[in-house]
Amino acid sequence: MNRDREAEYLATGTGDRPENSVSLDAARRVLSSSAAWGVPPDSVAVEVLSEIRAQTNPFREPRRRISPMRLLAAAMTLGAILLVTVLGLGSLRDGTRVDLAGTELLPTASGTAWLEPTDAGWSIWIDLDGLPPADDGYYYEGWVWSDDGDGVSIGTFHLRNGLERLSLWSGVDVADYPSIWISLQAEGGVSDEIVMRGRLDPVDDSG
Amino acid sequence: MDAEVLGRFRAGDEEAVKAVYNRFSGAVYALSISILRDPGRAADATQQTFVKAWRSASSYDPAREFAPWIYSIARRTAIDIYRKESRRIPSDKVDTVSEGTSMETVWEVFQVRLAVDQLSDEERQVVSMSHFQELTHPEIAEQLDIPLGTVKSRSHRAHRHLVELLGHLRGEPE
Repeated sequence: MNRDREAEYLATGTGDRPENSVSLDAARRVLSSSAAWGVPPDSVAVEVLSEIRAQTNPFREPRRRISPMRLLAAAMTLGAILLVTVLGLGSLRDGTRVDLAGTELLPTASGTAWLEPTDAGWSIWIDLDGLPPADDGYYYEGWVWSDDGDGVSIGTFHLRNGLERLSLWSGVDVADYPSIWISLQAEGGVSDEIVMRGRLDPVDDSG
Repeated sequence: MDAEVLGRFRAGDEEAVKAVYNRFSGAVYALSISILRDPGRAADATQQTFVKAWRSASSYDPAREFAPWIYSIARRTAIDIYRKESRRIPSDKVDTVSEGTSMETVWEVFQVRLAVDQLSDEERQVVSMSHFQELTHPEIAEQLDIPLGTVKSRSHRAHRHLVELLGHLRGEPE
């Protein structure tokens, strides 16, 4: 019975005032305004999906896929010299660690990044295993990536002169950009393929 | 909103994003209109809201209601746009700028629009003609070419449905 009385009040604004008449008066005001009835243009839905698709794959215009055969050949040539350089990590082991793994493009690659805050920004050392030198015309690029889909470059490298421990820098707080990606890029081209990725995983030094 | 859809929305699944958009875009647009008073900027705010919601989906707690969560994102987005636009307006024109709508009213707009979007097409039509177009029941009957009794019963059913949907109308979420 109450519901019928409330429905009547909502419809007409007259009759016995129900207990929730304040809310119903507010609803009546909204129902008489254009806000209750306007529809966003169809283009909004299209733009939302387009933007999400683009951000789902920020490297969305691949120029060239890495040939598995080329990667295999390069990896065999380099052989053991591609092992991780782990000497002299020293105090960096007290920093924040991110384990990196190869993507489906380079599943045998692995690595570890050590992140340490400095006055200039975050110093990022990366030791890699299984990442071949980039071909001429290509290079690798390191990224830190936020959960909001924003990426910031932390430097580029090619590894053609043998493997060294990489020293990269981030000017943004890695707590806000907790993912690390390494991509293969074409010189003069657009962002290409992600070959390694990892996520911030603080080292527990308590033990 | 189905928990399974929300789970997939959190994972960024495109079909789930569409489902969430279809359910909440009207309310987000209504909220944006009530703050920005401009359909074009409200459309921008709606677009930004859903992209932000998708980006932030990992922070959504499925144990909580989805509507207040996306409402918060939409309100912040519209207010940010309003503030940015206000800075571009010469100070001698600032008096002409809408002071916006109280946050309580914005929440009511959002809730009412969510309820309206859950009505059937027939129910929504008669409520719109009655409240927005301010037509009487005989005028609605004439326009729709249906008996007056049908309009009355449809109107009662629609408003009772709205009352049920708005039964949870509460204060603005924190």
